[in-house]
Amino acid sequence: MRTIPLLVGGALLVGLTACGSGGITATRVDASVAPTFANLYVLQQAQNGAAVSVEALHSQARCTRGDQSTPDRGAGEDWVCQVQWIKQGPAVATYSLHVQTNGCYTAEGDGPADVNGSPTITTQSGDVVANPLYKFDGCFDTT
Amino acid sequence: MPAADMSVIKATGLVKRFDDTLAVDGVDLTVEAGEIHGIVGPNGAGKTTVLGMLMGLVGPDAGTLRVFDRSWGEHGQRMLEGVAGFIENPRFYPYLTARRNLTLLAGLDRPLATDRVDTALELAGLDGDNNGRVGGYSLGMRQRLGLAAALLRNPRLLILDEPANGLDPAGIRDMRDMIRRLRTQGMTVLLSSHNMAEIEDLCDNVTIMRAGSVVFTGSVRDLWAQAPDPVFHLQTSDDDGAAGLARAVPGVEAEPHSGGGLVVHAGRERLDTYAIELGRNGIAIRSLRLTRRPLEALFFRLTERQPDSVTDPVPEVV
Amino acid sequence: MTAIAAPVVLDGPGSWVAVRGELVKLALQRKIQAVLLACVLAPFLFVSILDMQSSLPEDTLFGRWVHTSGLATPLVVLGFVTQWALPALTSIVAGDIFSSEDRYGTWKTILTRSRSRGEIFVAKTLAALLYSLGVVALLGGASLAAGVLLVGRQPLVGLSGTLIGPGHGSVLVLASWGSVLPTALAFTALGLLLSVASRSGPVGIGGPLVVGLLMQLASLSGAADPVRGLLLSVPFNAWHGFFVEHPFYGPFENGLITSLAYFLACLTAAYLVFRRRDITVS
Repeated sequence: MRTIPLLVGGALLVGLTACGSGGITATRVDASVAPTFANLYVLQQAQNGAAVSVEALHSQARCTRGDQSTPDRGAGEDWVCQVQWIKQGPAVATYSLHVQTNGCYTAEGDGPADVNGSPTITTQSGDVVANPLYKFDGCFDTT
Repeated sequence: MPAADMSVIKATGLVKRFDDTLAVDGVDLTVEAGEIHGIVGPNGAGKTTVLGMLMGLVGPDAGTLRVFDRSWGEHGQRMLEGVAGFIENPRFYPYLTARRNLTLLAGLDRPLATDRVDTALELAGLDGDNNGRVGGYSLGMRQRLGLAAALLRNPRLLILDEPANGLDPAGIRDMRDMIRRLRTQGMTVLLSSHNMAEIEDLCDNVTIMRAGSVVFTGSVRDLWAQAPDPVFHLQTSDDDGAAGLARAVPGVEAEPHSGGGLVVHAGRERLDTYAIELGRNGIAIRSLRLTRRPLEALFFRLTERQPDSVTDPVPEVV
Repeated sequence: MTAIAAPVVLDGPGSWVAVRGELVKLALQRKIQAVLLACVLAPFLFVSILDMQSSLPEDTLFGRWVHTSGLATPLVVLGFVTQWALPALTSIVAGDIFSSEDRYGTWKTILTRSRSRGEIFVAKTLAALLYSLGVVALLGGASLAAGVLLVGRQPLVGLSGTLIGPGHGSVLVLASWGSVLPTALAFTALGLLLSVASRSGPVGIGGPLVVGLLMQLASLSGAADPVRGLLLSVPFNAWHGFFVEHPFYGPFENGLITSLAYFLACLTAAYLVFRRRDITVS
């Protein structure tokens, strides 16, 4: 019967090593939000009948968490991202993010209204479809 | 096959403790090939625990146990080769039919016994019932199914715990006939019972247990030699005279019974002499009834449970 | 206690008879039949209910796309069942496959045949694992079928905003369902251990569910970060990495190690308890 605690101990050890380092950092959030936004922007523009390439957007994101005293790491509902891209000139959109411990997040548009303010958009052909930039999900590796 | 002179079961010094209870305390048990061996004792004497050890369900704390000269330590489950039976009431999956239950069990036998399911059902008298779920079976039917499950294994040693349990008188007769028939086919049978009459009727040898220990082991004939005189209830035309006369016949004891008549302790020949003496003295016998069989009396004496009726025979009088 | 165990030996096709016997015992139970049927029907029912509603299950990944692409359906179902249903569904069998013999009093019936305790243990374990595999396969297959048949084969917006075509998407969906299998089997092993140790069906079935829910709760809180590797609910999320532009498999690999560790620890402990126990009768 002494083997059972041993086994449990072994499992704990394996589990802890599997855990490794990592976690949720601003760098990782930035690196996920920028391309995801770019891809969805291309999708939105395509629905409007405009052909745009991801490369041409040069999207960048700068994400922070809470106020200045809060370190920019960890899961929480208080992440805010500024996304920049090139549209004729530089353009900026704001998102508030709910980042979960598993590395997935939901980004909710905070303006400008013509980019991410409306849940639906009307396509060139007149169909009403979901606006991909209004709210979107993304995931990144936390390991 | 075991050599003819080898015991089928050879157990020495078996001990088993459950928590604070010493269930089995140094039990020796020897069963020879071809015999019907009875194991008797009051409830809690440790019979079922001993049978559980024989069937590999309970590991002994001490002692050695060999069945067909095989042991758990050396042979594991193969100790049960040629062994079958049931302990307490046989139990099956209630939501399945008898046939399905037996087919499942046959799949656990080596060699696979699947092709013997029909024969086994027939032997146990259950072949008429194919679709009923075992959950609806009476205790007696489950007992028969237990026997069928055991016979599937084509055993050379059959271990039966209270086989007559739940059977009606005809079922008991069939069960005993079958046990005798199996013995003539060379099977060794170990059966437990709390009924001395059943042991007397069926067994060659008997082991009596009390509180985890063996208090007697030997042939039924040896047991008879130790048995006290049978006890009778006697009613005569003159009970006082009959009681007085009993004192004159050696080996006969008679005392008045509270409900009328006399309680008589006497062996068979002494009783004959006493009856003739009564007639010679003008005392008529109105009724004579056996109230306690000798082996039963011995059983109670050995297992130290004094029955009320030894001094106070059954009140109702013919 | 004296060991009354024999080594685990699987000697050829005869051993499969014992596994098959366990599967027959399961298949003939109404409860199991109902669960398997529900695994097939529930995804179709789920899509039908969603069709009647305008609101979307946005709290779940891919929930906002359930009306847009049929590929979202199996992923939303996967997100739901990994919350608590998989530990519960697998434990219905695993948590009771040993303790049911206690309930029916049938240990003495099956352990006095020719199979060793090791073989009986292996047969029951394999039967429970096969059932869990079946539950995952049926749920995954049925939800993919429900999505494709009732919604369609439209491309799916992945977790990096890229469009994933129906062919590649279907492969990813099946891979995702496959990725939760090791963890589902680890929960199965936990159910088996609780079934052996407690000899009680409710503990065996309810235990993994409670453990799963507690781990789920713990994994939602950042406070559990240092021990995330120990939480068996975490690997259930590993498939998220399959749906980004540059897929990552680290969580899956870590989850595989965690699941395997739980699997082996639970099964070993269960076997040690099982081989030593005395089968006493009431």
